[in-house]
This record gives sequence, C-alpha cells and structure tokens, in this order.
Amino acid sequence: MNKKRLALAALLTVFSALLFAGCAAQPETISKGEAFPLLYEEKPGVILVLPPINETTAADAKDFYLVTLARPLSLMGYYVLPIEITNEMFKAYGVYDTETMIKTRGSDFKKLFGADALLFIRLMKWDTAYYIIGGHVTVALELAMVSTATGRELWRYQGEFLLDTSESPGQNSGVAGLILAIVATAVKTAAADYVPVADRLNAIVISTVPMGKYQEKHQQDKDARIIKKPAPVTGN
Amino acid sequence: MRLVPFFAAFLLLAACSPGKPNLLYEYENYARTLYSYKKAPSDATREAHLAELDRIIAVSAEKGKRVPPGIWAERAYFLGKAGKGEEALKSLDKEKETYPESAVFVDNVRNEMKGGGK
Repeated sequence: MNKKRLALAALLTVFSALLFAGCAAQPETISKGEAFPLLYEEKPGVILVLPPINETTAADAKDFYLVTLARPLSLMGYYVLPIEITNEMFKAYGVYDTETMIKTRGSDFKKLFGADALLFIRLMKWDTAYYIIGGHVTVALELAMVSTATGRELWRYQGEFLLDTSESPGQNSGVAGLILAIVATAVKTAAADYVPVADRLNAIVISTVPMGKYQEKHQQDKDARIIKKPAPVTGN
Repeated sequence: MRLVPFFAAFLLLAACSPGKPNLLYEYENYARTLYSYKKAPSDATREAHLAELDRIIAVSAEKGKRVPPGIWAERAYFLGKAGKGEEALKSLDKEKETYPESAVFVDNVRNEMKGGGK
C-alpha cells in the first residue's frame, strides 16, 4: 500500500513539475480588450495606409511590402483604401516620406480620404543572408493604427519572421551531396522572394488586430488572447 | 482562448493551402501579379495584373462574396493607365457602390481622373 502511494506521489510530483515547467515556458498573453481599449472605443472602419518608414538596407522593401498588406487587413474586417492609388497620390503630392506626413493633422486625412485611421508601417529588417551551407530571409516590422479623429494610437504590434532557405545534403552522401546542397541553398536563397515571408509575418502581426465591422466578431473578440511580447518566428 | 490568435493566423495562412476555410474575400493571386508588375512595370505585367483583378471579381461573384476592398478602384487605376478612361470611371463607381464609406475618396479620384486624364 505504502509503496504504491509513494510511487503515485512521485509520479504526480514529476508530472506537475513538467506541467509547471511547460507553463513557465509559455509566453505571456494579454486579451485584445486589455491591450487595445481605444480601438474598441473608436471602432475605425476606413483605413489609410501610409508609405512605410524604411529602416532596412533594401531600398525597394517599401514598394514590395505594400503589395502584401491589403489582404490580411481587409480579411480582419476593415475597409482598406486602395494602396496602389493612395501611394501614387502621396508621391504626386511630393510626400513619399511618412516622417513628413506625421506633421499633417489627422483631420486633413479624414477630409481628403474619409479615413478613420492611419496605418503606420516601420520596416525594420528585410534581408537575405547567405552563408554557403545555409541561408535565410528575414522580415521584421512594426505596425500601428492611429485615429484621424482623435490622434490617439489605437493599436500597435511588431513581429519578425525568419525563413530558413537552407538545403541539407539529405539522402545524397559525400562531397557530391554537399555540393548539391550548397547549390540548392544558393538558388533557394537567391530566388526567395519576400511575398511569402511578408505574408507569414503579416498573418502573425495582423491577427492581433481587433476584428473590424465586416467580420462577425466585430466588437465581440475582446477576450481573444494575443502574445504580449512576440519572439522572432522561424520557418521553412 | 490561447488558440484564437493561432486560429486567426491560420485562417490568414490557410488561404494558400488545399481545403481552405471560408474566408471573407477571395484574393486569388493578387500579391503575385502586383509584385510582378512593380518589379518590372510594362504593358505585359500590367495586363496580367488587370486580368487577375478581373478574375478576383469573377470568382467573388461565383462564390457570392463581396469584391475585396479597393479591388474595383485598383482596376479603375490600371484601366486608366491603359487609356481606358470610360471603363475606369465605371469601375470607380462600382467601388463606391460596394463600399459606400469610400465615397469621399472615390469622388476625389474621379475629379482627378476627369480633370487630368489619368
């Protein structure tokens, strides 16, 4: 009897230790309602995307990132003003730099575009690393939504995604196998275009936005939990 | 509850995989053709993207879904670039019809197009 109890107690201790260790490793979460109360209060519908602030070494990162943004934000239930057009308009007015536009009052954007909120984009990383036996493509960014009516920040989130483009020798043995792997990695890394990487990063970052009016859960997802401080995500 | 952000992320990701869940909009290959156009702007890449926009509109109708925000307007923009002003204006009106909140924006673009012959 005693031995059995002892064994059971030991088992329970080990089990709960594992469970606790598992829990401790979980990232801290917060509910959308707690994180973004102002967005739930203001309920913006029409979003105007501003040209990205580019802190990366890739000069064309701005243009290429913008092709990926409309879809995830629209799927969350927002009306996103057509980015190709609004971007051209900003260029035509000679204000391609968001840094300059920050000085313009939100009410001007409301008047000219009917925008309820501005979407700020800060591109932090947009690079390819190739080191013969491996390679990766990394995109990191920060997004923020600011009200045109009140100038308050309604939502902000950032994320980083690393796509591993390394190719392992796998079945192929010896030098020949290694050479094949090196070439494959080079091709994979060079050919890696940013769209799928940006898509995956957007999925992570934009899923934290409270649902907009075109989604069923509009104003009803306050309990949805998001990760408070997202760590870089790796995939391949 | 912790599953919700992952589920939402999955919804957004899953559109590219078979057996996808029912998303609010159909985007087909939108980013791909637009990316190709921006990388190498030409009549060919522009026509390819316009064809893709038409496809999005057609598939949306087939599936009884609204055309995604901005698609009608973007179609108008590229039609304008192709010199098809009349069709472009009609497409702009479809944007306003589908999304009344775009009225301020659409009216401004309309005036610019009529005036500047975009």
